[in-house]
Amino acid sequence: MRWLICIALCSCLEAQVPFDRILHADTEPGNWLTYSRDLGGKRYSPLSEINRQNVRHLKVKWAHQFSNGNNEVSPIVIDGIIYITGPNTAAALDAHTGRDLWHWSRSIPTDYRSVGFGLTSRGPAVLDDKLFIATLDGFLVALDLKSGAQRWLTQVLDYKLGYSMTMAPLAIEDKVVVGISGGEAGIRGFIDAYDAKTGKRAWRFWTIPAPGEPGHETWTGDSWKTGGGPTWVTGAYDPELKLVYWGVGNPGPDWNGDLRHGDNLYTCSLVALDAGTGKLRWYFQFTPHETHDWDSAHVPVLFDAEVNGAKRKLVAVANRNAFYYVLDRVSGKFVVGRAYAKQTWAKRLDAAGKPIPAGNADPSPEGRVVWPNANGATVWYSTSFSPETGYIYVSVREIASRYFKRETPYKPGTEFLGGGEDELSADDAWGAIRALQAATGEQRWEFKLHSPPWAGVMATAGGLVFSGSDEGNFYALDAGTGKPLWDFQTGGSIDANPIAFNVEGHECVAIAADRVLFAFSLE
Amino acid sequence: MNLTDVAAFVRSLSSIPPEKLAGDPERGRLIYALSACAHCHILDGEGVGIGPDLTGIEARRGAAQIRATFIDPSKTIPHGFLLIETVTSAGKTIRGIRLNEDTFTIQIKDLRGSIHSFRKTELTQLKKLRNETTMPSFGATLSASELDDLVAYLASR
Repeated sequence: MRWLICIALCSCLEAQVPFDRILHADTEPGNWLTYSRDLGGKRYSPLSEINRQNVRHLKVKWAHQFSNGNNEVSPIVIDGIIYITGPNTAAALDAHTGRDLWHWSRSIPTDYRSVGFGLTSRGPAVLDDKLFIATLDGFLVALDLKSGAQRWLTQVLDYKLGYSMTMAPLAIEDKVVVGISGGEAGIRGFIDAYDAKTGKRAWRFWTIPAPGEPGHETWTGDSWKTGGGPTWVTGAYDPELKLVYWGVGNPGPDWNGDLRHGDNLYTCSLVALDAGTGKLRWYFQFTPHETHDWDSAHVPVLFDAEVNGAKRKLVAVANRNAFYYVLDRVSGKFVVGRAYAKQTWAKRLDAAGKPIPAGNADPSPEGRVVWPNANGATVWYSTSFSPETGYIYVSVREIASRYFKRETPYKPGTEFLGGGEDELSADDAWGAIRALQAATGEQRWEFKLHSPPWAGVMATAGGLVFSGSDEGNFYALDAGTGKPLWDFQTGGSIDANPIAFNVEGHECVAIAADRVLFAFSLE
Repeated sequence: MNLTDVAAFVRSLSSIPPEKLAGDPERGRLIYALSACAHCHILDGEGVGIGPDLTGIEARRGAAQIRATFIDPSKTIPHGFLLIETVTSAGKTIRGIRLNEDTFTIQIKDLRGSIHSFRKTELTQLKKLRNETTMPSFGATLSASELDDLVAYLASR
């Protein structure tokens, strides 16, 4: 009864999340109000009830069954209520029990095709009294937080051209920012912002410049029209600089660069956009003229640190191309970078952060073996930054592929790949959680995994790092040393990011494992 | 090629006439018994399930590969039969086939068919013997015609 009263009170009094609450997320560590918990992409929980000393007592609190498999959701938690998404679905759950409070769904059109990714949704966003969901068939939907009733719906894209949306939106100030999927279908990518109250589009940034725009000269002929550059992973926001940071994916076609000579801006880049207008402030391209499907679709991590004796505003990205980068987030200038996983495509980075090609790494008709594989040395899931250790924790994939190049005709809404890959033997592949000194990228420790992972990382103030394995292990490591302290076999492959929150003042951690959302606590 | 074409092709495979083999399956039956193959393999539901089930093996592997396996089994180790050697913290060595593995645990079937489940932290040694097998070579103990007979026997089951 006490829970019911609490939920009722919360629904009446607390179901409002003005931007100020998200901005000051650290003042309410028991909630998880935005995709990465904070706008800086850190995926760090200040909760410490579960810690190095007691994590071995962690137990399942409840399990919630999804209606679909392969869930990648990172939930939002507000005052005892958990908000989740699935493919064209959303639900509110009681954080005490995992039971449904309301459920929303929208039919997936029968002619919808997922080109290059599965049917998934990585989470919602919240602002004021609304929950925001990006649907596979291209709609941004605002739901009433209390009831799940639809407040408004805006069409972002045309799924028949191969576009889709799988990422969690990012609510900033009075807008909701979304990115799109479709990098394997020859789309032209963009990032959009919508007015959170009305659903009206505020701005659009095209990731492939049109004729006459700066950067267009990095494309040949009409290749820009099918140049890809999807934006399918949630970005970060600096409220002081008023800049949105967002990763841009691979060029199209993926594996045949002959059809698109040049650097192919702004694919495989991090872009910094003016939050008010969507205008490009700066960009940094990690992999010019990329030909291995190494999207730079990552959550950028914003942090401040001393570099050569001066305090700097920085942004870090552990890239799918196997290099870790630190940039100045005011100017976009390269600060430092180094390989954090095995790679055979570049000799090193030059002084400006540009890769020096190793040669013989491009896909060929006969096939070329290159590290990492097409899913990269890390992929869409999140890294985590702990302000206590100063480390960035990366879920690393050590795996190679033989890459092939093929001819590829463009047909709207279908695969525009230009080749493919054959992964090398599973027994020769492995994974790791690596702790990197955030400001330098130097490795501090490594915890080896049986196979390349598909799960993100969350560090906590309890001195722990949580993550999951492809074989279903959900586990906690010592954030300072990498020593394993606790693990639980969930029975399903973990392809998601962990979160932490409080229920009645007690810490819980949660992770989606295939068809089940698990919550764990000490009680 | 659409799905219907693929299905028709797969169905057509079952109508391919069996390979003509040189050996005598009846003599092969005796060799199978004398060589103690059933101590590690199941054939037609009989034997011990440590190595691969040999029922219908010719349809899956073909006569040439079966014969090659008799001569050098380490070159044709099938998927799912990785040999593991572990040493427990109590000093006990256990060799067996890996049934499953994750970052924290491993499950092994030893050469008597007993199942062992270990936390990796309980082990002082965990070796993956990638090119090793417990199956002996029959290249030196059986003649060429006896190998043919054994292949013919397995192909007949």
